[in-house]
Amino acid sequence: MANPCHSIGFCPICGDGLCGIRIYQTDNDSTYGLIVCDECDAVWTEPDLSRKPYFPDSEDERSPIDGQPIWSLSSHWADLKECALLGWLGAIDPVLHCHGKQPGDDDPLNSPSMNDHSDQRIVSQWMAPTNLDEEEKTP
Amino acid sequence: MTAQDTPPLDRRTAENSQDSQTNARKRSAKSTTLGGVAIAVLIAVYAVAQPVLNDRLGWQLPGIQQPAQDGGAVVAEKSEEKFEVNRNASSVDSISEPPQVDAKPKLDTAKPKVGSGPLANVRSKGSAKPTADASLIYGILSDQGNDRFMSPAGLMYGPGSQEGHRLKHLERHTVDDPGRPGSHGVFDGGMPGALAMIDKVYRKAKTGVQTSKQEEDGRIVFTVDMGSRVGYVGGIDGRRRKNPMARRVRLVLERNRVITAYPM
Repeated sequence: MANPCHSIGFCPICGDGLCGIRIYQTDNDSTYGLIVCDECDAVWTEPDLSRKPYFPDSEDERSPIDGQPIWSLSSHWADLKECALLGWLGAIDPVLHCHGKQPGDDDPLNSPSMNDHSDQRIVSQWMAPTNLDEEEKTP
Repeated sequence: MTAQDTPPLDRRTAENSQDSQTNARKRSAKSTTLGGVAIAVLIAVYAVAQPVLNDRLGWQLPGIQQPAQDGGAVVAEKSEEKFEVNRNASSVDSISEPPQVDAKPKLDTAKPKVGSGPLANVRSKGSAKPTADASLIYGILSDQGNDRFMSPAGLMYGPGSQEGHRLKHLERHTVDDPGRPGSHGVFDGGMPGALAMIDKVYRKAKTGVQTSKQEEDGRIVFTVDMGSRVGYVGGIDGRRRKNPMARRVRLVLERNRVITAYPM
């Protein structure tokens, strides 16, 4: 999908780009989240656009976390469940939702991540809440 | 006047009919002359207005190259084709490139073959102008090898972006995305128009005229006011504002490599 499913805001660098939540898996089943502008490829490692972004090489964009390609086959725009797993639900701007009218229209059970291993280890300093009912408390 | 002086009825009738025919011929000649003058005036007005409209509105009206007798028909035919490309640009199913581009794969037989990369179908797209160099991509980019292409102004289009190549990414800005949140700039003229406009933008940006520049960690963001229409604003915001005309272009570069560019 060209447009991010869920974004946290417009890109402060290029203006019109959507800073979408992108998720990818490494070879050892670690899962990382990134904020990526879909226009200028500016990258943030946390959902805070006031911070200085990272600019990957324009012809070989790689994650600043582990050097994995940002646009690899194992990466994709995160759906609602994956955003929750990353603990970034509270950062989503519902106005920038790209399919359905509200984030709540996404069916967490219809996520492509359902096919992933259920015991995947999330290596992120923003650990997922143990109870999804508490997602409103996530900062 | 006596009855003997009165001409016979038949001769009088004939004279009346001759007079009416003469008057009819005179009126016909007069209307033909007026029609010719009107056509000449219209052609003159079109010749003056055509470059102005092309420049201000981004249309691609053809110039008058044929005699007045059949110039109108040719102009109308070509105008209809070009208008269709531009006016349908707001729809999702719009034509992203001028129709004649798809009809010119034969011009590219001299180009080097490429594997199944993201630009596998780009090289099959011929130039917009039949008289342009057949080795140029979209009639403007020269092949530098390794899926890299350079514009006349020195801008490089290479691999990158989620689409796999910067040209494929730029292609998104030749058609509207009415469901995209925010604004989505759309260039006039499909890919050839977009690439030519980006070159003009870059040249103007280097002069600093009507240009703002931001630079951070090797990324340069130019915002250039071109002074006339370059495209329109689409997306959800553009649609809400009835797709207003765009006069500025935002160009994001890494050195001379194009990251993205779009009207705004």
